[in-house]
Amino acid sequence: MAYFLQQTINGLTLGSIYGLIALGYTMVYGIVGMINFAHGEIYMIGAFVSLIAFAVLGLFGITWAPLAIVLVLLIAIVFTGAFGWAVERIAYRPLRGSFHLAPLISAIGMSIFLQNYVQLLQGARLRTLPALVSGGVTLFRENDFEVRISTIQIAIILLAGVLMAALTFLIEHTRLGRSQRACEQDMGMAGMIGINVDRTISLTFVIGAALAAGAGLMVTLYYGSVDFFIGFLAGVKAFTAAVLGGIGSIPGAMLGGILIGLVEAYWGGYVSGAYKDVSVFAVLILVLTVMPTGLLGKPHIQKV
Amino acid sequence: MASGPSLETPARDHKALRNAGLAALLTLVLSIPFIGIRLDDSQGSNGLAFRPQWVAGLVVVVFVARLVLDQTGGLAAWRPRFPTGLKRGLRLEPPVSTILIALVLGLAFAFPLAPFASRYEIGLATSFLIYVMLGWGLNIVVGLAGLLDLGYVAFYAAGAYTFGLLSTHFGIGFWLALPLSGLAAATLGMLLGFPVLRLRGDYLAIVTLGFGEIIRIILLNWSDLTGGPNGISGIGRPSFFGLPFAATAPNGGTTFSKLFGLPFSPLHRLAWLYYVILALALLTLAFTSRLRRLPIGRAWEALREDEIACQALGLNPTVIKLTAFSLGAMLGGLAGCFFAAKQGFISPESFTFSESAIILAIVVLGGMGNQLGVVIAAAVLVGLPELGRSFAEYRMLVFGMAMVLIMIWRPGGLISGRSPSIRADLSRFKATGPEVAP
Amino acid sequence: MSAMIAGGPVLAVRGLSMRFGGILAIDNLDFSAKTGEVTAVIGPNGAGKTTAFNCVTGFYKPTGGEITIGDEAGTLRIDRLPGHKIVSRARIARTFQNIRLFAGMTALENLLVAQHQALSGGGLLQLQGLVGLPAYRAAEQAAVEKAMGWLDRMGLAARANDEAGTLPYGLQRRLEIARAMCLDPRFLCLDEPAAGLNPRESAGLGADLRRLTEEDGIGVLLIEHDMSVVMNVSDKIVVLDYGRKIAEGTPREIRDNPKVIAAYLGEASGEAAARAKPTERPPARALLDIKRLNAGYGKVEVLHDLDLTVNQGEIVTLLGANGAGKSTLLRSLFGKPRPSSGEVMFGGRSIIGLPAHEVARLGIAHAPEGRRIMPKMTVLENLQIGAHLSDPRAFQADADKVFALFPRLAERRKQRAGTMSGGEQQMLAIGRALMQRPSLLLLDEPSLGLAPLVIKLIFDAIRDINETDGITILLVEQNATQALGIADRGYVLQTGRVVHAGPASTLLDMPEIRGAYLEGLGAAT
Repeated sequence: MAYFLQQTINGLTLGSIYGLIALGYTMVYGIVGMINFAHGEIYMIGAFVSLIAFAVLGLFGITWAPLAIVLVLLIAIVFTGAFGWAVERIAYRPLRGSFHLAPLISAIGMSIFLQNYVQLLQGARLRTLPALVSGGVTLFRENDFEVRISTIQIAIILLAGVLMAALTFLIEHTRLGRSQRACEQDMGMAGMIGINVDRTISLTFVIGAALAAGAGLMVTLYYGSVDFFIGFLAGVKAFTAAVLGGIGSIPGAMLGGILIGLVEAYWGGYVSGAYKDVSVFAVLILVLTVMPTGLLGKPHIQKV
Repeated sequence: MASGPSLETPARDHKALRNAGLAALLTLVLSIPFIGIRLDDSQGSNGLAFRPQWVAGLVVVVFVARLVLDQTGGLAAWRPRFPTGLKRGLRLEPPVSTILIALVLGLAFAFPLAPFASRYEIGLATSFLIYVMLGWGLNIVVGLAGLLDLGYVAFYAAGAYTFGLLSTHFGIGFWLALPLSGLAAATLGMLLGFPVLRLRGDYLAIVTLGFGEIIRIILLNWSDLTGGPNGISGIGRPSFFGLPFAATAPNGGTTFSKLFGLPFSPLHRLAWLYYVILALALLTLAFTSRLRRLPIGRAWEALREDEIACQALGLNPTVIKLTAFSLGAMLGGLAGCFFAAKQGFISPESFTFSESAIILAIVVLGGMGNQLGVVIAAAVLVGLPELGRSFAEYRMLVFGMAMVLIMIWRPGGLISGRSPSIRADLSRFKATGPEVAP
Repeated sequence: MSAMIAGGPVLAVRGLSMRFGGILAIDNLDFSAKTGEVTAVIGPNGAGKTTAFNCVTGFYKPTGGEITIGDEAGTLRIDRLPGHKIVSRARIARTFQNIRLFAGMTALENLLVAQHQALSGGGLLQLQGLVGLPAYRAAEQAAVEKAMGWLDRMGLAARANDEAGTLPYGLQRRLEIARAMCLDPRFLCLDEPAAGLNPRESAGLGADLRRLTEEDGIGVLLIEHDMSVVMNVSDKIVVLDYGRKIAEGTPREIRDNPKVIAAYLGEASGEAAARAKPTERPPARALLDIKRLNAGYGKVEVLHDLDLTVNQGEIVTLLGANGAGKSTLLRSLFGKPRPSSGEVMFGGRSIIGLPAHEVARLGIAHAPEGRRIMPKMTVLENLQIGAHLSDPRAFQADADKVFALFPRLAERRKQRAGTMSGGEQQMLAIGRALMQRPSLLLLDEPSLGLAPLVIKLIFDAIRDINETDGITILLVEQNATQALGIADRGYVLQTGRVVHAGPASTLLDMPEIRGAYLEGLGAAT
C-alpha cells in the first residue's frame, strides 16, 4: 500500500509534466489539425533555456530558490515562446493547403533540425543542475518503507495546476480564447466574423510553447539534468497523453497526462523498469486502434 | 494624384524598416539562448561562455536581408528556380537512356577493381548502396502507397537480428538466411500493419513510430535472446558460393583466394560484399519497377491519390495497404540481413528512430515515388560527411531544414516527375481527336 | 417511357432512413430504379439526395430500411454488404459531386485501376505478371483494350496518356464516367454530373446518358440541379424535400406538380406579394458595386463577368437555381474563392485581395449558407465572437437588441448552439452577424430547411433590421416569392451570369423567373 502510494505520487509528478506538454499537442491539433512533431523539441528547448537561465541568474547572485524559479519560468516562457512562433511561421504556415502529409513531414524535419541545432551549439553531453530545492515531507511510514513527497514534487504539481488553471481561464473567458475556439470549430467562418486567423494560430503555438517551457523547467528541477535528446521520448509520451484524453480536448490532455504518468510509474514500479517506455507506446497503439477519439474526444465523421 | 508617389514612398520605407526591425528583434530573441550563451562545464560546474559578436552579426544580417527582400518583392518572390528538365522528370528516350544505364552499371561493376578503390572507398560505396536499397524499399510504402512509416527501421532490425540469431545459434549461412530474414520482416510487417492500417495518415505515422521504438526497446532489454545493449557479435560472413574469404580455410578446405590463385587480401571480402549489396539493390529496383506496372502498384498510387474513390471502385484499402507495408518491410529485412553480415556485429544502437528519420529524409528529399531521386539523396547523405568534419556535424541539421524547405518549395521532392506505368498507343486514335472544350 | 427490358434487375429502396446525430437526413424513403432507364433524384439543397446516394453505394450504413437489387436470380441486400463489395457483388458504380479522379495518374491508368479485380485474378495473375508470363500480358492487353474503348466512346482516347488532373473540367467529368463504366455496372449513380459544365457540354452529357441506357442497357441514377438535363434525359423523376419523397413520376407529371413548384419556388402566399415594397426609392449611393467579376474554384469558373450593385439602405435579393453561383458570389467578397478578375468596391474602396477579417472590419457581415454557428459554444458566446471587432462596452446593448429581435435566443443564452433547432440556429447566425455592427449584411438562404412559421418570423426580422437599423441587405434565396416580397430589387442568376435584374415587383410578375429555377419547365410550357 505504501509502495503504491509512493508510485502514485511519482506518477502524478510525471503526469503533470506530460500533461503540460500534451496541451501543446492538443491545442495545435484542435486548431490546425496537424501533429506538431517538433513540440517535443520545444519542450527540450524550454528545459535548456531554464538551465542556462539558472546559470545566468547565478552570475547575478540570484540563488534564492522561489525567486530564481519564478524568474526562470518567465525567461523560459519568453524564449521558448519565440521558438514556438518561429516554428509555425517557418515550417507550417506556408504549408496550409498543401497535401495532407506535408505538415507532418515538415514537422519531422523541424524536429531533426532543432535537435541538432541544440546539440551543435551546446554539445551532446548531459548537462546537470545542482539541486536547487531539497527536502520534503514524509507522509507516513509503513514498516521500513517511507512514503515521501519531496518539496520539488509539491512545487511541480502546484505549478502545473496553476498553469493549467490559467490556460483554462484563458480559453474559456478571454477574447483570445474565444477566437481560438472559434477557429477550431470553423476557421473560415471565424475569418468572416473578423478574427485574424493567422494571428490566432500563431498565438496558439506560442501558448503551447510557453506551457512546454514550464514543463521543461520542471523537468530540469526534478531530474537535475538535461540533454538535447530528451524531447523525443517526452514528446511521444505527451502525444500519447493527448490522444488518450481525446485529441483536441484541453481537459482531456490534462487527464491523459496524469494517466500516462501513473501508467508509467506503476508499470515501472510493479512490472518492469526496463519496459516502462513500452507501456506508454502500447497505450498509444491501443488507444489509436481501439478508440481513436480518446476519453473526452469527439467522433470524427468522414465526409464523402 | 500627382503627389501620390511622394506620399507613398516614405510610408513604404517605414513599413520595410518596421518589418526588418521585427525580424531583427526576433532573431535577437531566438539567437540569445543557444548561439549567444553556451553552457560550458569545462571548469566543473555550469560555467557560461558568451558569444555576443555572433548574435550581433546575425541580427545585422537578418535586418539587412529583410530590407533587401522587401525591395525585391518580398519572401514570396524568393524561391529557388529549378531547372525545367527536373520538373517534368528526367525522361530520356531509349537510345540515350540505354547507353546511360549501361554506363552506370558498368561503372558500378568496375568500381572495386579500380586502383583508387581502397578498403575505405569500397566501404563507403557499400553503405551508400544500403541506404539506396532502404530508400527504395521505403519508397513503396511512402512514395507509392502514401503511408508515412516512421518505424521502418524496425524491419531493418528484424532482418538483421534474424540473421544474427540464425547464424550464431544454428550456424545458418548468409544465403539461406537472406530469404528467411525477408520473410521474418514481411511477417512482422503484416502483424503490425493489420490492426493499424485503417488509421488516418498522421495517426498511422505515430503508431509506426511507436512500433519501431517498442522493437528497439525489446532488443535492448531481452538480453537472453538479443544480447541486450551488447548486441550479437560473431555473425557469419557471406561466403563466395561456399568458399570463405580467409588466408586459410578452417577445416582445410579451399578458400576464395586459393581457388582463383590470388594472393590473399582482405579487400576480396569487401569487394564481394559490395557486389552482394549491388545485386540486392538492383534486385530491389527491378522488383519495385515491376510492381509499379502491375495492378497492385497502380492500386497503391490510386490509394495515395484518393482512398474514397478507390472504395467506390471496389478496391479493399486494407488489403492493398497491407501488401505495400509488408513488401516494404521485406525489402528492409533483406537490407538488414546484409547489414548484419557486413558488420559481423549488431546492436540496438544501429536501429534508433534517427535511422528511420534518415531513410525517410532520403525518400522525401529525393522525391516520393521517384527512384533516381533516392539515389541522389542517398549519395548526398553518405557523401556530405566526406567533404570534411564540419559537414559531418552539420549533416542532420542540413537534412532537417532541407525537409522543411522541400515541403514548402517542392513537395514532390527534388525530382518530382512521375512517368506513367503504362502508355497507350495513340496512333489509332489520332484521327478522331476529341473536341476540346474552349 | 423508353423500352423496358423485361425482367431486368431492379434497384429498390424501401423505408430508407438515415440519421446523423439528431438530424434525420432521410425519412422513410421509397423508390426504385430499372436498368435501361434514367431515374433522376431532384430536390432543393439539403433535401438528402447525396445522402441517399451514399447509402445506395455503401458509403453510409442506413439507420433503417433496406436497399435491394434483384432479378430472376434472386435479390441481394446492398445495405448489408461491406463498402468495397458493392461494386463486385451488386455491380453498382458511382461518380462524385466533386470529381474524385486519381489526379496524378493518366486517364488510362485511372481506367485500369477500375479493372483491378479482373487484372489481379486473386493475386495469382499478378504473380505471373511479376515474372513476365504471357497469361498476365494477355489479360493486361484486354484491359487496355476495354479502357481505350471507353475512352474513345467518351471522346478521350487522344488524351489517354495525359494526367487526369491536367484535363479540362468537362473532360474530367467524362473520364469519371468512363472509369465507372469499366466496372461493368448494372447501375450507374451520377452525382451532379453537369455541375460546372457549359450548356453545350451539358447537352453532350445528356446524349451520352441516353446512349448508356438505350445501347448498353444499364440503369442510370442521376442527381442533378440542371433541370434542362433532368427533363430531357429522365424516364422517371423522384423529388425529395426535407428527406422525404414529395413526388414521383415522368418529367411531364413532375413539371405540373404544384408540390414540386412550391418546394422550389416557395409558397406563393398572396400576403407576401401584397407587401412588396414600392419600387422606386430616391436614388442612393452605391454601397457595394461589383463589375465584371469572374471567380471560380480551381478549373471551374462559376461567375462570369458579373455586374451587381447594392445601394445604401436597400434590400437586394439574388435569385437563381442551385449552382447558379449565388453563394459563390457572397463568398468571393471574402476572398474565398478569390476573384480572378473584375472589380469589387465597398464603400468606395476596393476589397479584392483583402483577407476575410479585413473585409469584416470594413463592415460586411455574413450569415452564410448552413448557418455555420459555432456548435460547441453557447448562444451568448456566439454573440461574443460576433462582437469580436466591436467595442466591448457596447456589447450588452447590442446583445439586448438581438434578444429583442429574437426573444427565443434570450431564453437559450446559456445553451450550446449545436443543440438548438434549425430555426434557432438561423436566428443566431443573423444575430451574430448583427453583433458585428455591419453596414452590409449578407444572408445566404435563411429560409433553408425551416418551417413556414419560422420563415415568416425570420423574414419579418430581416425587414425590421433593414427598416429600423438602416442596414443594407443582400439576400440570397431559393424561396423567390418570399424574397421578392421584402426586397427592393432583385437579380436572377443563371450559370454565373445575371439574366434578369430589376425592381422586385417587376420580377415577381415575370414568368421567366420560374424558368430560371425549373429551366426545363419554362422551356416546355
